[in-house]
Amino acid sequence: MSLQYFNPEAINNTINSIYSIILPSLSIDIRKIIERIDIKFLSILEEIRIRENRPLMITLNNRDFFVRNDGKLISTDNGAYIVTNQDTASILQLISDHSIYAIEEELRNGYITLKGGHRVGFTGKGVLEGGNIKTLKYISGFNFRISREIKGVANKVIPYITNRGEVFHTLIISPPQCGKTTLLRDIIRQISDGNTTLGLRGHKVGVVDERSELAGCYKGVPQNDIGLRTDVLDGCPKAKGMIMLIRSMSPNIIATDEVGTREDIFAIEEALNAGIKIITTVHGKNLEEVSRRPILKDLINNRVFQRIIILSNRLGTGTLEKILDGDNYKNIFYII
Amino acid sequence: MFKIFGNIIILLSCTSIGLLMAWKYKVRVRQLKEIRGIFQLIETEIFYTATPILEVLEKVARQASSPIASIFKEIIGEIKRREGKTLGRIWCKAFERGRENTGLTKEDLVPINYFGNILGTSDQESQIKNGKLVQSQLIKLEEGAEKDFIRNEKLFKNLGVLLGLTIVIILY
Repeated sequence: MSLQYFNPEAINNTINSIYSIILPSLSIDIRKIIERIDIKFLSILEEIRIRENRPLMITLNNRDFFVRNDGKLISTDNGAYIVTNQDTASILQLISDHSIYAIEEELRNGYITLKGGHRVGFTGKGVLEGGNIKTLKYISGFNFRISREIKGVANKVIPYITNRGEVFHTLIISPPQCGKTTLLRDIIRQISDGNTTLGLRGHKVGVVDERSELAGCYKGVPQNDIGLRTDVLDGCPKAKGMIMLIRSMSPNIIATDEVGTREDIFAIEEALNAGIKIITTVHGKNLEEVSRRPILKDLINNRVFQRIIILSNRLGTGTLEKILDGDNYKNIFYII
Repeated sequence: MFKIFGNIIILLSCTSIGLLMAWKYKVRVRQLKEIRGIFQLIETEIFYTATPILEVLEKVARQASSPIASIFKEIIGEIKRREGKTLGRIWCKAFERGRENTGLTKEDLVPINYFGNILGTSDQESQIKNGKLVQSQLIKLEEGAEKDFIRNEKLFKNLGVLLGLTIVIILY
């Protein structure tokens, strides 16, 4: 079943943030074109792709379209608006607030987070120093990813991952663009705030937000609602951040997006030893695929996770396929 | 009676024109010094705290004296409008427009606009390097302006009075 990612409130929020945050970060010419796009397409906008000397593109529903000067979406590049050098120069100045020197770290990482948690990735020419990327120059490609904060998407999931006020170790498995981060964010919010109807008290949640996607921190302050009892370590590597949180903030639960390295697994074990519950996500289609990966294999085989949620986009973004019981891998989710 | 009155007016106005011309030289020196100080402040903010340019400029606008401060206020207003213009363009326009109210010459705008054009467009290191270059150019201009001031201050003051006297004598 679908988790209703596109409810009216969410659509309204998306439109508002496109107008107040995304458009003012675009060059005048591109801004005018995006403004002309039909509102029904804007409301489900996922990405804006800007590549110098190439056509302007947007992504909706996992499909990409070229955009004409008049805002019409077309499937061939014939007649599409061609991005100019002035566009990219202007965008770089606007997303950095005219202060490239202040975003050196972001340039090294290849993305920057705007207010509201929207992420802009960019590409250019790397400047190397001692084999490491020192910075990027000649930045000519941008990807604006519209972040969606949809409160209530986790409503259906929460009863399955909690039991009499206790939270289970939970793993979300999902392919890209299926709403994994959106779901995790709402789970964090609900567990942190607590839910009286479910008898769930609020828990202290520590979030390691390596890529500023979950909390969407802008200057260290979360822009998304991630709950009253949530502490966010923004921009920290997951493994180091988890250990830092265990020592500094005494969380009941640690949540993080997209684990995958050996260090991550080590940090998870550390958290387990400290009696902390883990909620995390991983890229993948199903449990079999994930358990074949060398690093994640042990985590699955040791049956660390008590609940495993599997998402897809079969019925649209955020289709809930299964919720598995971590002990016997049986599906416990049925459409009620 | 009227003649004497008229003559006094001519004399006074010529003298004040002379004083105004002399004053422009003095103001130019003062404003060049002020701008150099401002640029130094901007560089310090960039280097030590990597503060975003808008915050730095707001600080500058609060500290600067009147005609210079209003130029910076105009720049801040334009940046906030987020109309997609580059900072360099906003900066040059504001200085060209604001120059009329200052003692600055067109020549002075060359390093000032250069500074505006590179401001915020590169990493800290190159910002500082370019800043140093601009500083040395400004010092040179300042020295020239000071010489001009010493040379021309008396000249224009005397010239004003003398011109007034000449007109009065001719008319008499």
